[in-house]
Amino acid sequence: MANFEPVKKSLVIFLTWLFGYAWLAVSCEDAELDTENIDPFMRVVFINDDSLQVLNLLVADIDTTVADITGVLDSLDTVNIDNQFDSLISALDSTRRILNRDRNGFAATISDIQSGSVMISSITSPDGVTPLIPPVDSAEVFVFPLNAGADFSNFVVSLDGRFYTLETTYERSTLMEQRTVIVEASNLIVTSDDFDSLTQQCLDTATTTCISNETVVTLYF
Amino acid sequence: MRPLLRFISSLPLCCCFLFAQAQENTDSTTFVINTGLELYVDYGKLATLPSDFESKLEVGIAVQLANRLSPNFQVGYGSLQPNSAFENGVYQSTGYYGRFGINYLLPFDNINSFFVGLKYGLSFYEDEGSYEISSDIFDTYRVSFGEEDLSADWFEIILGSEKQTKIKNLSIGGQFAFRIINNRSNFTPVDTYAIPGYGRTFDQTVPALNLYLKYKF
Repeated sequence: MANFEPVKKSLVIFLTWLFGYAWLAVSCEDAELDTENIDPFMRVVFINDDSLQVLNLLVADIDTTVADITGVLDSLDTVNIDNQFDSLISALDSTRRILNRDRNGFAATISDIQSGSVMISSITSPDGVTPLIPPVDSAEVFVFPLNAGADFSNFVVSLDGRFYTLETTYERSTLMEQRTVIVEASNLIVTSDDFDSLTQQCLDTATTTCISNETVVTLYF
Repeated sequence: MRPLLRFISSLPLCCCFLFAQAQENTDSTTFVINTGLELYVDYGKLATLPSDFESKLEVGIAVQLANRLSPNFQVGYGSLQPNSAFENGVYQSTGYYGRFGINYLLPFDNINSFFVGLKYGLSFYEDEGSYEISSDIFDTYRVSFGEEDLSADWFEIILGSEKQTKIKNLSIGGQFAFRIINNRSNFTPVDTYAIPGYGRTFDQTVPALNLYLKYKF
């Protein structure tokens, strides 16, 4: 008969180790709750539309003036046979350079404004318990947390020395995602605001139901 | 999932091996099968009582017949608080369960034996828990949930071994159980995570290990 003592010993050792492993695996479970950064939110971009319009008008005026100067300079070039218009041409050319430099400066500012780069003084909610701490520097996109316990979230934003209100509604659904219970907000609608105008778009343009975390609200002030 | 598949696929091989060994031993050795009533307690579950994540208790009764068959019945209690149920909350399921089935004894010698078996299990339980979502601006959102009068049933394929200790009539043993859920309640968003007597519900099947002491009358 074959010697099965090693088999028996191996079985006992295996059972012991397996039980020990199971015990250890369960004992070492992390008991800390991870409740942060799972609340629904929307992304908000602020565009200073008033300044944008003024700057666009300025740039348009400069473009017109530069075009006029260029036309005059072209004309002068054809009649300046005895160099009698040299000083005028030089002055006009200098003016055109200065205008172009200013135009580039305004264009850069327009680009900054269009990117939404603004500095917000404060973000609060009438239903909130603490004010949201905005970035200390200017930012282009702001993340506004939505109230996971209500179908609406209202905010008051201090911006450029003025207070603006922003009221939203949305539909909530609770689901389990990667072993975390989350509240997802969808069909977000801005119901009221003090801004000049707003636009709303979804990061995922293919979806029919945009969840709040992918909603970008652009506010013009 | 791959280790589980390996375990499932290895079960028939193990059974064949055990049958072959038992048959080989039967050919050369005369075994004495101690028939009669048997009582056993799951000491692996007793070990969970001092822990703060689960409390389990299970006892069983069996009748060893001369034809190597052993009808058996177990009852148990389980209170499970798995920390890994989900990240932002706590979960607990509590309840009683019973299992009945039949084992077939495969004596290795007069001290050691293997067995294979089939069981049917039924659990009556309730679960409860809570989860929370904190916010930088709004109050923390807390939700409590609970379900009562829940039930679940399942089948088990058993593969085990047992050894007669030096104490008369006292045996020590262990068994692998491969459990296949038959029916259980489902919930959203937080589904039943653990069923007393069955285990965790992350799949339709779950492996389990029981360690026990058995006294034969």
